[in-house]
Amino acid sequence: MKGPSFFGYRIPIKQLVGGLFLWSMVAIVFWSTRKMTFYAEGAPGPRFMPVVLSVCLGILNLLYWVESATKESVAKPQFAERNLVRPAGFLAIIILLVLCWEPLGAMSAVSLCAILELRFLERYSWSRSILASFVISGATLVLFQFVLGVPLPGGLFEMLSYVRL
Amino acid sequence: METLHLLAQGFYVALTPENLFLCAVGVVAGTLVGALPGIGPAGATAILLPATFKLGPVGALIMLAGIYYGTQYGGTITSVLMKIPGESASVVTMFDGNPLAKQGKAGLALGLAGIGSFVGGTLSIVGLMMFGPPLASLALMLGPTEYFSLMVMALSLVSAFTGRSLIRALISMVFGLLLALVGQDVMTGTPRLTFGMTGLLDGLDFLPVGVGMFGLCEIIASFEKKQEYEIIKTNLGFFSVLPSLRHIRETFGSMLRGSAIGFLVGLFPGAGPTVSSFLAYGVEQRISKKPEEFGHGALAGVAAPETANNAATGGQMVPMLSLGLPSSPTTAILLASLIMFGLRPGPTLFSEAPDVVWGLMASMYIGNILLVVINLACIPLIVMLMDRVRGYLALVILLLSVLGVYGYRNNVLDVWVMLTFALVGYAMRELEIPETPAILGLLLGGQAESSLRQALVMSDGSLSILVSRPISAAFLFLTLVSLVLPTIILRRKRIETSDEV
Repeated sequence: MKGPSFFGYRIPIKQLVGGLFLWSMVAIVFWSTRKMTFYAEGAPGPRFMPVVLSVCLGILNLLYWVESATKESVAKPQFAERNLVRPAGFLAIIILLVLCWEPLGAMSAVSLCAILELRFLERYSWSRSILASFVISGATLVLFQFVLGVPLPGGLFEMLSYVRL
Repeated sequence: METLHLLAQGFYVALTPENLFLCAVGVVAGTLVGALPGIGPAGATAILLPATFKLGPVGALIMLAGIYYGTQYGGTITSVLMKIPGESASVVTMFDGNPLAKQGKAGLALGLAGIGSFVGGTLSIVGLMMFGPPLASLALMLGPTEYFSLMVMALSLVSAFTGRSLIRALISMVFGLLLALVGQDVMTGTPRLTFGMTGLLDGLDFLPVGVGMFGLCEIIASFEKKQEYEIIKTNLGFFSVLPSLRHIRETFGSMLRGSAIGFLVGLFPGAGPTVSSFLAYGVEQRISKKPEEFGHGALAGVAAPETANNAATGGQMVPMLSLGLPSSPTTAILLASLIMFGLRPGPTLFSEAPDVVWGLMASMYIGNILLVVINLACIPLIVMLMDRVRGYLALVILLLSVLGVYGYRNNVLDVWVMLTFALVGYAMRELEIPETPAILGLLLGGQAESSLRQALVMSDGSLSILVSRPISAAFLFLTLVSLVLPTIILRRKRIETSDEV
């Protein structure tokens, strides 16, 4: 996607946004370390490296924009032409898993997310998705809780968290 | 003589039933994961890293190393049978491996690849034994100034060899170094870049960042490109996979050359299995009496790159174990594994934890034998599994990632960090910024900063110490060369091309 033009050169929108994000990082680092010592008694203070790296990042960011404007990037399809529904769906499932982790418990959260992933992303049937999710979540519980000894949140199945082999 | 004595001790450690089992598990798991397109060696080792916490440092390293070279071979299977490289180092194998499969010689291609992997891996371990301890002894002479310059050189070499653009690779490196600053300042205890979050006072741990950027990110990206691929149906029985003596004789020279190239290339940060496999292929094509066969099923075109990519793994272990400098994402994960067990790779590791180092080297010998035996015998099973488990792969990897990262410190914040960096990794791919320099920056940033600050304290704040000490000056000169040379070469090529036009 083409971006605004500067002196006849165009920086693609993606690289422009990326560059702005990097500039914001530079600004955040400068602002958050403003009260720290840069140099004291011949020794660098805690602000030394953040400032040095931020300056380097700022310079590189300018060069990045120049490079983006003057060189051709690898041609990629526009966002509208790309199939982003599946990656977004997978991301939503991960977020759901983490949000349900403690309230529902590990096993319940894993089962729920496994069913959703297998049914809606891999397009398996309901019966196959449910069966596979129980097998996978059971195997996960056995491997992590009982074999590796990782205490998983019980949630709805709190009593299982007290069982040790 | 002392080396042999230490190696014998290493075998004593590696040949216990438990460690043998872990080695076998690592090799098999690595082969299976490497055979499935979508996850490379870095992703596989990152995802399985949390599962190794309970194994102790020796067991964990043995298993992770087994996974590493298992994935190298696993990627070959998809390259040959499906024309899809399982990971970047297997791209070259595809050029001649897939044509061989179409000629009904898939078994021969896979068998030669297996034998070549064994030869390359074994010879590179010999090189590791020869170079590792002396380099570690030399490294004891390095002070904080030299260490800082060495880390700058390593990071710049990785940046120079990674991605299409040096500027983007450097941005990635600086970003990683900034991430390493999060947490309490080592010298003064001042919290930096924590934004009031107590969970970040200990800094960003490598594990959630690494698993997010290499494991989860690849899976999210793979959902976008739904690959429909067909596996070439061919006879893959044990005897069809085993190459004849004639074939081995024909390709043995290529294997030896590939071993040398792979090991030497692997010594350099950034130039690992992928570069070595391309280089070995190019050399074989150039010296071959029948160069026209390359690309159409030349046996040397399979044997040489496969040997080189496994030999490079041994080469990469040299700087990682001797100097504490990882030269690739996978060795960064191995280094992170050692750090998590309280060991610091570098010159002192050989003296403080010889059982870990020599146990690892001995297990690499054993792992190479297991690799060729298990894989040659089980190729039909692996191919069948690949076909059956494709649909469940993403889910299994997701669960391993989330549970593994959570299990590390029983902290949900780590899982959120992993998810955040999965998105960061995805964004970096969109912007064509490579992730490898960032992950190395994160690993080495803390040590680089403390070395630099110590050096400046020694010199009363004068930066001239970095160039007045000869070893440090040499490292910085090489840094400059690595940054400037690619640009000069590229400009020359452009001038030559425009002159020809």
